[in-house]
Amino acid sequence: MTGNTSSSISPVKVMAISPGVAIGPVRLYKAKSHAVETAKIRPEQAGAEQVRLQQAIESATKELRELSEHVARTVGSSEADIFEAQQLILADPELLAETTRLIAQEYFSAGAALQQVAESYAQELEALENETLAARAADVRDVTARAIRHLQSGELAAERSNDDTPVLVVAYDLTPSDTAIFNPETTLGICTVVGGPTTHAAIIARALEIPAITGFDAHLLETLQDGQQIAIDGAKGLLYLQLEDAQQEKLRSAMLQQQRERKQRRTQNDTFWRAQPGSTADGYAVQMFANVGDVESARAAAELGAEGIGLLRTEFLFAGRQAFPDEEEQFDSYVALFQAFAGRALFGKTIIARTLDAGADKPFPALEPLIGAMQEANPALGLRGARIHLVHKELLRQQLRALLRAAGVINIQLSIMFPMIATVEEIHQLRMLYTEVRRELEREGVILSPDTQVGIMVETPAAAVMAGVLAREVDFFSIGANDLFQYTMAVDRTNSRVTGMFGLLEPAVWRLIARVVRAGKMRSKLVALCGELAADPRIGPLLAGLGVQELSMNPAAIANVKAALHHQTRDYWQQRAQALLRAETAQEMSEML
Amino acid sequence: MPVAEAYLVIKNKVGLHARPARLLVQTAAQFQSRIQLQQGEKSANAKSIIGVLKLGAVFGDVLVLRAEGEDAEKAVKTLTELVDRKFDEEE
Repeated sequence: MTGNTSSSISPVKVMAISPGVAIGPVRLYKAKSHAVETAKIRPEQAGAEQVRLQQAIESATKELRELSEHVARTVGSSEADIFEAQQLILADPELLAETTRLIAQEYFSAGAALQQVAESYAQELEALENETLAARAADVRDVTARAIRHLQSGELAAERSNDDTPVLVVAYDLTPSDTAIFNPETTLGICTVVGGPTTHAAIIARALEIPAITGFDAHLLETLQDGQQIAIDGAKGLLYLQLEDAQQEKLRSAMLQQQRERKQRRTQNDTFWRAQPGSTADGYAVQMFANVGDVESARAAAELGAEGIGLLRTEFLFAGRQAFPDEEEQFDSYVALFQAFAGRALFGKTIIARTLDAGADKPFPALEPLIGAMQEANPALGLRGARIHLVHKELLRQQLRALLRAAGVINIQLSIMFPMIATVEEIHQLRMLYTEVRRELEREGVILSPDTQVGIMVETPAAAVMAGVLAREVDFFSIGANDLFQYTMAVDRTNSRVTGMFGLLEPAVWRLIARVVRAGKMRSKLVALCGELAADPRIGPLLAGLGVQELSMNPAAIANVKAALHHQTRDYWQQRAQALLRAETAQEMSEML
Repeated sequence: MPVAEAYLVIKNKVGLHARPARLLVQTAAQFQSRIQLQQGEKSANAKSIIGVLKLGAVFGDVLVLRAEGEDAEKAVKTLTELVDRKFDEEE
C-alpha cells in the first residue's frame, strides 16, 4: 500500500458518533426549508391567526404521537421518549402564551410568532453551556419547524425517500425527526457538519446501529456531489473523501461483515423472538407476558410478542384525574385497551387486570373526596391496595362491573387479581364481593365470559408464608417481586441510603418465591411473577427453572428473555434455580448468575 | 387563595433534564394551581418544560417550590414526593 504518502488520500479526522464502517455513494440531504413569512398581519386577522396556530400545533402533535409510536416499534421505547418530550414542548404554556401575545398585540403571523419565540428559547438553552441542554435547543427548533410546516402547506409532504439505493447521508445538521424516518436498511451512514454525541439524532443513529460521524468542514458540503463515493469510520471518527482500490475493498468487506452481524443480532433478538412463544431449548413452555399501563403499551405489548398481559395496572384510569371515572367511562377505557391488545396479539389473549392499587405513596387526587386525605406516616404499611377495596366496596364494585362487562364485549380471557393481600379473610371477602357483582350482572342480562379467573398478588411476606392456605382460595398467584422484596427485606426501594446494602437477589426473597411456587403446584394453581427480576435475561429463565409458569415484564424486554430462556433446557434452568436456593448470601447468588 | 411552599433537593443523578423534567412538568400540569420553581435568581413555571429546562438544575441543587391555588397543598406534596422518589429512576 502506498496509502498515506498522499495527503489527499488520508482520511479527515472528525468526531465519532455511532460506531461502524460505511462506504457508498453520497446523498446530500437538505432539510425542508421553512423560511417563515415575516410579513405581519392586519389587526383584524389576529383571531383567525390564533386558530391557525392552534390547528398547526394540533396536527404537529398528532404527527409526533405517530412518530413516537413508529420509533417505539422500529427503534425502542426509550428513543420514542424523545418525541414524547417534543409533544410537551408544543404544549408549553409559556411558549403558547408568548406566541399568542405576539399575534394579538404585535400582529405577527402565527409562523413568524412561533419562530421568534422558539428561537429565543433555543438560544437561551444553548447559552447555559450544558451539552445536554443545548441538545434540547435542537428539540425546540425541530418541533417548532414541524408546526411551522403545517402553517405553510397545511400538510407535510411525505419525507421518506422511496429510493432504496443504499447511501451515506450527508447534511449540515439533522433533527431527530429527520433521523427517525431514515430507513436503516438503506442508510449506510450519516455525516453531519454540526452535532455531537448527546444529540437525539446521535442517540437514534446508535440505536439503529447506523455508523455516524460529525464535525467536518462546512465547505465540504459545496464540493461533495450526489453519488460520489466516500467512506466513514464511526468508531475512530474518520472521513475518507478519496479512496484507493485497496482501501475501498478493505472498508467494504468490514461494512459487509458488520451488516451481517447486525442482521443476525436483529433477527435473533427481535423479529424472530417476537413471533416465538416462550420456551426452553427442549420445548417446555414458559409464558412471556407484558406489564401494561395504558392503551399505548397494550399495543406495544402485542407487537413486541407478549403472550398475554400479566399485569394490567388499572391506575392509568385514575391518575391525574380530579373526579373519579364512573363505571361507563371505565368500561369504555377497558374496551379500548382490550381491543388494542387483542386486535394485534400473535398469541393468546389472556389479560390479568389488577384492581386499583392506590396508597398514600401512590396518591390519586380523585380518590380523596371519596376516602379522605391520604396522609400517613408509613404509606407502605397503610391503607392501600385491597385494604381500600374492603373499606370502600363501592369503588371495587364499580371497577369489577366495568372489567367484567368489557371482557364480555371483547373476546379476551380476563383474569382479575387483588393487590396487597395479607390474610385469607381478605380473599374470602373479596371473592364474596366478586360473586355478588357477577350475579348482579347476570340478573341484568349481561353476557359474561364463563371462565374468568380470580387471583391475588403475592407481595407481602404474610401471603408468601401462608401461600399453602391461600392457594385453596384463588385460581392463581402473581408474585409481585418488587414489593415482595421491599416488604421481606424491610427496605424502601426508593431510598438510596439503604438500597445499596442489598443485592439484586436476596436468599430470603428467592426462598419465599420458591415457597409460593410449591404451594401453587400442590393445588395445581398457576404461579406467575411480575417485576424487574423477570425482565433480567439472566434471572427470568432462573425463575422459570424455579417453576414460575408465566413471567410478566415490560414489553421491550420480552424478546430478550425469550432468547435467553431458549438457550438451555428445562433441566439446566431447574438445576441452577435449585443451586441458588442453597445460597446463603446475596454475594453468593450474584456470583452464580 | 391557598399557598403552599416546600424546598426541593434534586437527588437524581441527571438533575432536572430529559425524563425527570418531563415527569415534573406532566405532574404539575395535573393541578389547577399556579406552580413556580425558584432557584436563586431564576424562576420558572413548573408547567413549562422549556422553563424547567432553563433552570438547568443539577444533582444537589435546592429549589423553592411554590404553588398558589385551590389544590396548592396537594400539588406541592405530589411534586415533592416525585422529586424525593428520584422520579422512579430505578424502574
